[in-house]
Amino acid sequence: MEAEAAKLIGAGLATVGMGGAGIGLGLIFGNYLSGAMRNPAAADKQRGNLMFGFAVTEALGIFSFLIALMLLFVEL
Amino acid sequence: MPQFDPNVIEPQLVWLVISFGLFYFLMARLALPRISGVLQERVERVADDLDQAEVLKRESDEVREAREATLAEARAAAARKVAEATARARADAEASLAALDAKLAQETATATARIAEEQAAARREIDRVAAEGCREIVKKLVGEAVAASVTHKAVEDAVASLRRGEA
Amino acid sequence: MANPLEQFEVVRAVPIEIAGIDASITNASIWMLIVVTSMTLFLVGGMRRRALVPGRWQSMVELSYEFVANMVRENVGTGGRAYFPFVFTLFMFILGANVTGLIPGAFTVTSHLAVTFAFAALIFLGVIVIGFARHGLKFLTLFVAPGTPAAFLALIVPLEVISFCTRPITHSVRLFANMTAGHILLKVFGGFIVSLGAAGGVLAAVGIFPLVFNVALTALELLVAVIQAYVFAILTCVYLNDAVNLSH
Repeated sequence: MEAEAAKLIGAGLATVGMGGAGIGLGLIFGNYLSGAMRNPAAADKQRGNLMFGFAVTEALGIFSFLIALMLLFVEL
Repeated sequence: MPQFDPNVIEPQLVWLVISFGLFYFLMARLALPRISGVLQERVERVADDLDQAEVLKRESDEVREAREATLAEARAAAARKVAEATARARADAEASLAALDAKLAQETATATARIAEEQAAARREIDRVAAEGCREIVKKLVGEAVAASVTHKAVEDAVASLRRGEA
Repeated sequence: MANPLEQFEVVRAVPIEIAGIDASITNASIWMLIVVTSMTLFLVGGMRRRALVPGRWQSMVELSYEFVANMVRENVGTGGRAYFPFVFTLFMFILGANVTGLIPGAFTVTSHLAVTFAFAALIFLGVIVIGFARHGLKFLTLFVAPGTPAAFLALIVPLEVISFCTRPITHSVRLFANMTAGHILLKVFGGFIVSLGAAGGVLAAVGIFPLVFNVALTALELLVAVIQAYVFAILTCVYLNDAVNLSH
């Protein structure tokens, strides 16, 4: 297999990792919403935690996206 | 990717140190003392204002208490005066009422006495007239005068018997 | 379509070399200075009246101060007061860089790993120095979670050491990758708009969709810019807390 083709396949495979981040984000927002429905009074105070969890989880998806970018564009 | 180009790392780091150092200096010396100064001042001002409000509230409480004391005093004095005036008025009224009663009683007594007197006089007059009439009738019937005392006695007896019959 | 990575290119405007160190003025350094200037103007200008009853601008300045102060107080405690100016400067610098980077045509300072890694490494080394200065060798108990059975220590301690050492990497890559990915996405959709518009006819009309999407994406990126600055600062506080309070 040519190195270029392997890079492209690897980049595609790397983006699979974003699915995990997607699941994680869904869990975060879903659980936040179900918690907020049970106790709407406490929801506002947890919005900071929500955003923090969102950012930290989303970063993992971004990491895999970054790996894909590096495979595609970084010349070693 | 340009991010992984080793040629551009050095100038970025140099300028990052310069700009971040400058920014840190500006923040630590210029911006942060100002902001915290204003915030501190506001906290102190608010605390001061609260203290002042407390003092003013205490003063107003004192004034209100004094006013209430004065008011209560005035009210008590007024009540006392009213009571005095009422008592005096009642005493006056009772005195004048008693005087009036006495006067009326006296007048009633004199009037009653006069009525009794006049009644007696009227009765005597009636008796006299009746006795006179009786003597005239007897003189006409008998043709002879009868002593006044006799007729008088007869009329008195008749009236007495009439009164008994009435009773 | 233009290369979406072109926006990250560092271009030397004035090549300078001092004592063998390449200190060229580049677009990156110009934008760093723009960030510093604009944030300083924002923070100092807002306080120029020192009003007891703040106006809109002063409220914003005070709000950002209180925001960072609360963040430090909640995550580090009273021992963190000494590091407040650093965290505040860091937050404001990254926030300014992220937000000014969203201006079309601007260079995003924080989209370069060299910059974010410099911050992360500074914090990492700072945490180690502060930790040893405050607690001496007891700082090493950071790697031993309390209540760990002795049998597991051989397993737990290397894991803790590894997770501690990867901190600067995740810390820096999170910010860098978020900024890079966001800007690439904006550029890719921008490229769609241009190429669809150039195609003309029906395709040009279809080009409205990537345009609308790009507008929405810009709003999302603004949110991400603020959140990533917040996350970077709060992680700095969390790491500082390890060094200052040394209690799991």
